[in-house]
Amino acid sequence: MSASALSDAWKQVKKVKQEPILAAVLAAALLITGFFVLWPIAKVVSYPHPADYAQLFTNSRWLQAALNSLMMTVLSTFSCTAIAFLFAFTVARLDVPLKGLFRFVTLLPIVSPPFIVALSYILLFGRQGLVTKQLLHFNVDIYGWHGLWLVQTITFFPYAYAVIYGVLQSSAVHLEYAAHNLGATRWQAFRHVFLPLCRPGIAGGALITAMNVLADFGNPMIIGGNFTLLPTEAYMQMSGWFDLSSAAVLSTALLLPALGLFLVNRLWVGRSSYITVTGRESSLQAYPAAPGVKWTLFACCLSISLFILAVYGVLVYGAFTKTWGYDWSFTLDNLNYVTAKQQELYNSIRYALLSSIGAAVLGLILAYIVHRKRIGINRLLDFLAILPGAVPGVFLGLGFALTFNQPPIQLSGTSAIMILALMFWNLPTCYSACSAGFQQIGRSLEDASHNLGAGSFRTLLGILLPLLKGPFLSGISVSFLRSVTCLSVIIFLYSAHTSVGTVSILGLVQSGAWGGASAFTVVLISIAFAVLALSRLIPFTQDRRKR
Amino acid sequence: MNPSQAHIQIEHVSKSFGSFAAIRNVSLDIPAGSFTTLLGPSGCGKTTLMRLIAGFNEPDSGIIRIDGRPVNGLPAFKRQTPLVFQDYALFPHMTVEENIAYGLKLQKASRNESRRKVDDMLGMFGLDGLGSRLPKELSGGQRQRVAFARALVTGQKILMMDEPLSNLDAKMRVEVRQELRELQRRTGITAVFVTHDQDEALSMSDRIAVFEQGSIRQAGTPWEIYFKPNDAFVASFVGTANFIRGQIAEIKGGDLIVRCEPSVIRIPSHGRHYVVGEEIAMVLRPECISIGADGEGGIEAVPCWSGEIQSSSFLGRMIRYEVRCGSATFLVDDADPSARGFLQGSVTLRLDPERIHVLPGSGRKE
Ligand SMILES: Nc1ncnc2c1ncn2[C@@H]1O[C@H](COP(=O)(O)OP(=O)(O)OP(=O)(O)O)[C@@H](O)[C@H]1O
Ligand SMILES: [Mg+2]
Repeated sequence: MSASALSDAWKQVKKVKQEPILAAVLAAALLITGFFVLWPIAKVVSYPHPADYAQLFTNSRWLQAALNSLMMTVLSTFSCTAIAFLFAFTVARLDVPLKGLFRFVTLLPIVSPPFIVALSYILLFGRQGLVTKQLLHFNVDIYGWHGLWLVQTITFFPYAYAVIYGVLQSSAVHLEYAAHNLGATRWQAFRHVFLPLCRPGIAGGALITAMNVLADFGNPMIIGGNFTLLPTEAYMQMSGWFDLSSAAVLSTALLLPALGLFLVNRLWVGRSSYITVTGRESSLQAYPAAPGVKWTLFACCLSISLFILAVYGVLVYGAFTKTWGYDWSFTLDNLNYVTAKQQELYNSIRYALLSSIGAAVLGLILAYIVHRKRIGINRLLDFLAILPGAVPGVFLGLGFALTFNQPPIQLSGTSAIMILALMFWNLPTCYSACSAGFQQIGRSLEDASHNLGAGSFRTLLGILLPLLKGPFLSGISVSFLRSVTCLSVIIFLYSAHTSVGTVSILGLVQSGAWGGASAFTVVLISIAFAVLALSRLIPFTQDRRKR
Repeated sequence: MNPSQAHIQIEHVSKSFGSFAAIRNVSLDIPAGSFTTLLGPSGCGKTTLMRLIAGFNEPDSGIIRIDGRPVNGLPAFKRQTPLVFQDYALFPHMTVEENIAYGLKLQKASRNESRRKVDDMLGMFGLDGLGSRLPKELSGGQRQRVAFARALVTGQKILMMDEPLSNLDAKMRVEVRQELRELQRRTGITAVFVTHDQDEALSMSDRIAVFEQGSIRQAGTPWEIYFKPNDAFVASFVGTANFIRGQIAEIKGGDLIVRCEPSVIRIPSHGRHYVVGEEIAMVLRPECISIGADGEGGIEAVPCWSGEIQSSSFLGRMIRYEVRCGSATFLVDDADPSARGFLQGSVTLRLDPERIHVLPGSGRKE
């Protein structure tokens, strides 16, 4: 057993030796990911004195923050999963109109800054809110967990939707037919066959959502009020008291459940899936649902969609309104806030562009090594590439701040630290996209290339890269949008010169300049999409078949 | 139910998917207690027809009756038409027992009754001891038997099967064929069987309906389908066929004198009406032609054609020759290869006029 493992290892070493480029790349990849992923994590965890950790249980403020985080994670995950299932079922299974709208609505929150919904929520229901003040003449305190719950639900249900929809889409319709054939009514087939088979997928969606809710920083920052969670509390320790040690304790407290969720997702959900791709009978339509059920679900989805549209609409409205709550007249003055912050806008785009390209290239290289070179070190590399996905943004930011403020690498206040942090934060996204791509390309293609005398490098360039263009570019796009709209990672890292758009927006919100904040957000998103659209126009990135 | 009445009646049923007509005006009676096979090439609409009977789809027009009652609009779960799916569709999250018991559970059978029936089924299909396994822990053949058990356990009078044997190896398929037929005879259920394997269809069925492109080309007993095909499609799809085209030169007594390549032949008209000058197409199965070395003695009356062997293939129980006679080529089987060994060069073919089948209406079509 161990002898064969040894000889395997020896073979691998020999194999790597034959390809010096591969060996160099492998060593570099290990070194870089280890250095930028593991070290910052270790740094944060080891930063506080062990005694400081005890405070977590004695300091009632922190304990409360931890409990609040737990409560919000449970509440929001539950509501997100329920709504995501509703949407996924309606879009995947029912024959209803307006599916395009539903899909659009589930995409919007993913591509917008994480605190947009919170901002609109204030515009709608705040002290000067459109609904509360203008329509109902209310004066309620909307800051706190109720508002946060609503806002997080809308912000994060799309993540659960993406997973659950994928599962429902590929679920085995013919098994439900088999159930009907044996006499099961629609409800019975749903309960006995459909639901048990989808359960792992639904659990997967819930876990992804929980990870996002747990790490959420923007929403609680804006409408949490006195209701603090672990990420916001950590930020306050740092920004209010420059107490890095406390911030590290709180972030570590956040990391543990996040890692737990991450591991459960990787180990359990991945395994227990019943979904098998047989390729057969894939064209089958689901057995039509009862009309009452169908239209009820449709009505639910429609109302939620309209609400989400209103959330975004009010933002645009706010961007061009003089003084929200008092003077509703049209104005372009709010754009002055934007022109005053050109440097920040420029930084946002530049950092996002560089970090997403970096993440995509690194992700591609890692995916290549992990999937195509059967080397024992693979599992470690795979884990390193995915790990940042489990680390809450606040934690990652703090980790970079603590690690790179002293020799050997001193980066505090530079653009480099912003770019690197965003790059590694996005690495899992790009890596997963490329991994999936590699899994779809049959090995025989590469074998053929090797057989014709091309080495690893030539094969990668000539055969694999052209085929992987799709996942590679989609990785860049998603990472770019995430970076432009990111707040949590960079909140510990920015300096006067390297501040970005989202930080400015947060500042405007905190000083009550709703109009400016809205205008800034609208401009930021527009620029982000314009850049994306431009990149589609570059001939290289176009799909060959479409030309 | 009146035993002579068809158990399942399909009357002028059509079904389209978008602009594609998958089933075109199909009518078929499936007698009670019969074993009826739907046979046809891939994509001809066999599964679609079965799904229409089971109620998974509704026909665009036409009526489907079960036990004389129209079932159009009746939801699938009230039709009681158990179906063995092509890929079995076993519930992956339920054990073998739970799979089999599922139909009983829906009928609210008592625990004991359900237990007893499931055990009966496990015994009957040789699945003893596998009851608590999951489908993924079974072999292909075992899965297939679970699928049958699940469909049969509720004791319905209909059993539909969509290519249930296609996932088995060749030897097993032949075994299961016999078991299946045996089972159907014993229980007296009405079986509807889908296949694109002609051997399966011929060996198992009471009746065969041959499909092509959504319509039925011929329905009849295996004998009729094989020896009296309605048209060239049926003749060539079921078994191997030699086609001979000719023109009626003369009608003499009950016989037709047909001018064809390579010579004139005389065949019985079987009382059907023909006119002189009519073009006809005839079908002759390879085993209905006998082959001998050139010059081997023949009986008068039997038309003898001499030809040249083009190629031969040894199939074990017989040799199949491709013989060229003039401009026509014939496939001929020698059913007793050990007697003569391989033939070569010039040979004489002898045709049995009684076994030449004239395709009805062939003159007008071709
Ligand atoms: N849901 C559908 N939408 C569109 N076309 C369909 C659909 N179901 C079947 N078809 C088409 O109808 C035709 C008949 O399909 P069907 O599945 O009945 O074929 P089949 O005879 O069972 O073939 P096979 O022997 O390959 O199983 C095919 O051409 C198929 O493409
Ligand atoms: Mg079929």
